[in-house]
Amino acid sequence: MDAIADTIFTDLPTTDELTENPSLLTVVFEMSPNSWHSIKDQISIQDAVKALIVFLNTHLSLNNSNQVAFLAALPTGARMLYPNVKKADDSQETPLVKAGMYRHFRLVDDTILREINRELQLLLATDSEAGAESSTLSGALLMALAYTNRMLHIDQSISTTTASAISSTTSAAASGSGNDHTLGSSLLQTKMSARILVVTANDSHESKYIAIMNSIFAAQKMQVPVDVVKLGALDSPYMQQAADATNGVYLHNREPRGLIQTLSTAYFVEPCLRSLIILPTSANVDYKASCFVTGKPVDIGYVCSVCLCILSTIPELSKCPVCKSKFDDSIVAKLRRGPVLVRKKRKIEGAENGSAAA
Amino acid sequence: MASNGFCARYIRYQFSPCITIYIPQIWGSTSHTLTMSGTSFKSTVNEYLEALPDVVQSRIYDAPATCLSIFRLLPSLAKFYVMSMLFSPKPVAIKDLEKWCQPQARRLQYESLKRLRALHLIENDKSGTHVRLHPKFQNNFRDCLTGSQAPNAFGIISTEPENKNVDIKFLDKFASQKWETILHFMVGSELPSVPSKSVLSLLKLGGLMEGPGNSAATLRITNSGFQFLLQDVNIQIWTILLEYLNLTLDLNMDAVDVLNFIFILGSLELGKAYSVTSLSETQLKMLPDLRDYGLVYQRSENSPRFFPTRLATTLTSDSMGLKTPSMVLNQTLQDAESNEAESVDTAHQESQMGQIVLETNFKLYAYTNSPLEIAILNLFVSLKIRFANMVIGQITRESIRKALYNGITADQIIRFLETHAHTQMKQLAVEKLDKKIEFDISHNINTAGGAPQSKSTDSTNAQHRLEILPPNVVDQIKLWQLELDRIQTFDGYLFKDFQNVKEYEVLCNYASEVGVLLWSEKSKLRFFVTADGMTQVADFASRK
Repeated sequence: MDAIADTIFTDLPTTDELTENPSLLTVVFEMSPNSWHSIKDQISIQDAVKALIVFLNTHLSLNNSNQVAFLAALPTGARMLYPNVKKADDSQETPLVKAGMYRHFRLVDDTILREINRELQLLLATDSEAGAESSTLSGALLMALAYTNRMLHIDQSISTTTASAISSTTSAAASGSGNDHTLGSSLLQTKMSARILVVTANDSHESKYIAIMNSIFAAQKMQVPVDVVKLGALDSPYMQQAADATNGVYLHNREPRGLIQTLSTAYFVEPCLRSLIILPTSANVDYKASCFVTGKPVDIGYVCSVCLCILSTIPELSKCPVCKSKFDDSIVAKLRRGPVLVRKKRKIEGAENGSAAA
Repeated sequence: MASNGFCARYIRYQFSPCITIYIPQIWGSTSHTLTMSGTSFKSTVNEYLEALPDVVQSRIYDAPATCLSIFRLLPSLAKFYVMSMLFSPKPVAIKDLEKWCQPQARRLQYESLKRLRALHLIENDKSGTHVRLHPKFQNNFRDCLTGSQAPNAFGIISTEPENKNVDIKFLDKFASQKWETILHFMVGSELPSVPSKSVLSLLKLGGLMEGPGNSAATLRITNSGFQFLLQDVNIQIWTILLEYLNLTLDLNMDAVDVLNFIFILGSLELGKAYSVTSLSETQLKMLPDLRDYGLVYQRSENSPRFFPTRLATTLTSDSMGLKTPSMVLNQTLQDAESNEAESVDTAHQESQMGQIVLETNFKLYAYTNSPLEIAILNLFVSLKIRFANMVIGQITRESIRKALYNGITADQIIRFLETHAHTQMKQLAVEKLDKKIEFDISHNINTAGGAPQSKSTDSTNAQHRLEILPPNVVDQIKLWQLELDRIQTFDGYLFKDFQNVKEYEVLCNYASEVGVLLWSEKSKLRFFVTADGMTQVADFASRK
């Protein structure tokens, strides 16, 4: 009897076991003029934005309670373009998208386009030489994670309810006053899931290694997949690591003309489907680290035994530049001596002498 | 491999009448075939859409709003398939579709593709090995996403100035008053006004009320009517609307037009006035009816504007996992009241949000004086004491059995109690859960099962579930239901007379992989599959 009962219980055809949670998609768009200039014969920034807007619309079309956020990594800093805190009343300005569009799409698309235009104009006005070198992608990524965290844990009762999705036009005061006693009811609700999409064309070397790695670990802990669209000529090893560690998708897109096609197939995997769908990722990920002092990528280097920071050279003061712990003088001396002694056969000895290979 | 021999046997069983097997059930979930047992409105609407004739089905994809709404109703894997084919000009090979998924997802994949085919969203091309999206759907949905559809696809906002100020508060009040009148009428409370004729006939046609004639006095609520009351507002509205759709044929209305208008309503903006000029004649005829249900507000019959209410704008949104429209409604009403009164009466507000306290000794306290709520509670609680602002009752085996005999399921009762539980119960449950998680973490009990990043989907594991109701009461209610369903029936097909074990195993394994296997007995070389899965297994067998 038990045997029969057991098989029935397990084999009962269940129709839909995938619960579909509302999800948040945060797009981090890298907008440094240099990198977009270098791929201008492949894709213009306008076309990329168009494709991204359609991609955001598709995400919104999945579920009524789905949310989107849009961040730009500008040379002057990371900026949150949508949702916009200082919401400009767009009724008096001419709309940039067609008025007949589905309301939710229209509100999002219009704000993003308007903000991007403004940022581009600001970029033109400011001295372009000022911060052209440094990339702010890491900052934008951390900002995206902070926003995701807020949406997942704190603001859920306010922002993800159907009510506020529908009454986004109502004043904030109304939702604020309803905040306290919705707390109890919001706890009943299923969790929201989130993911981040990074679009970057930057080929220059990422200098903020620590920030990037920290954001990868944060995303890993929050179980937020980081998907990366890499345009341009070179692979980006750190972004590749980010996608790999968070169960995200990394693709180096050398033919970005059909960007929307790529986005809608390869990157359209909701977090709840990640375990079911075979993700299009490459197997060989370059786990390259970079030196904490010089910022240069290293293949073989030194590692501090206390804080595990990676160094390409032996520090001058025989102190760790990050955690300030004192190194044993004799060992440092030995290490210093090492390369001098074995200059003739550097290959073998060099690897041995490093306290650890990174 | 004796494939020919097998095919012959299979055909013999295909033509034999559908065999029903009876399986005694000792422990397991039940499958009541109720008219409205669906846990979400999705299943109800989907059933209706799939049952539509092909001609109608291909016409509903003419409207972008409908395309969007139908897309939202699909299961998530089906959405993924639609999306990956949407911007692709070429048909996709069926084999490729299968390659995108992990092997363990095969059943889900089979079900999503079945759903897509049933809705005619995908169709085979001439070669038979490739599939493509329904061309009309593909064009319209793509236009909808890129914003290049017709400007009136999502309604035209009326720009004429409105002399009377219609704000969201007013609309919410209007909607809840209209809808609650219907519910109150069903439980037979004394009302100043009765719902209109059309509502009454719908309630009767839907089997929610019965009685001679259509007059308000003679109608009585039925068992399915009581079940209806236990449902979420969204499902209630859809039940009524689908009944309305069935009626359209008799009224000489175009079902496609009606359906399109319902889906358009779901995508309108709350608090905005819409012009009636973009509506078809059928849709204009619908407006007074929709006003009776509280879905739209129109100042007068001939007014050139209409306002969708919250009941309408949340039509196509998934209420599961989010706030139910009723809760939203309650909350906004409170906000409105508290804003007007300036003095925040917290006790009153809490009583509106959740008012049921359930103890481990099966005693139930409900802070309510609404006849509607008391009538619903009376369905499955034996009420003992009534005070001015609360009722006290006891959940007993008899009271639950009475409800079960009326066709109400244990899940419905539990869900109802959970959504209406008192705020304090919820807070207590949350505190308990937090403590438990903390304890597990501090004692290093890894309940997540594996590395934190290994499974992103199973973030909330089974052991850390929020238990608002006392678990012993929940279990007992479920046990009482199981007492009644010891036998469960399935329609399906029996496979037998296999020549060898290997042949049996190949088919049997396949059937269990796609999730259609109901029973198998290896020693007798027989297995039984569901009626739905028959074609799938037969296809597989003929391919071998």
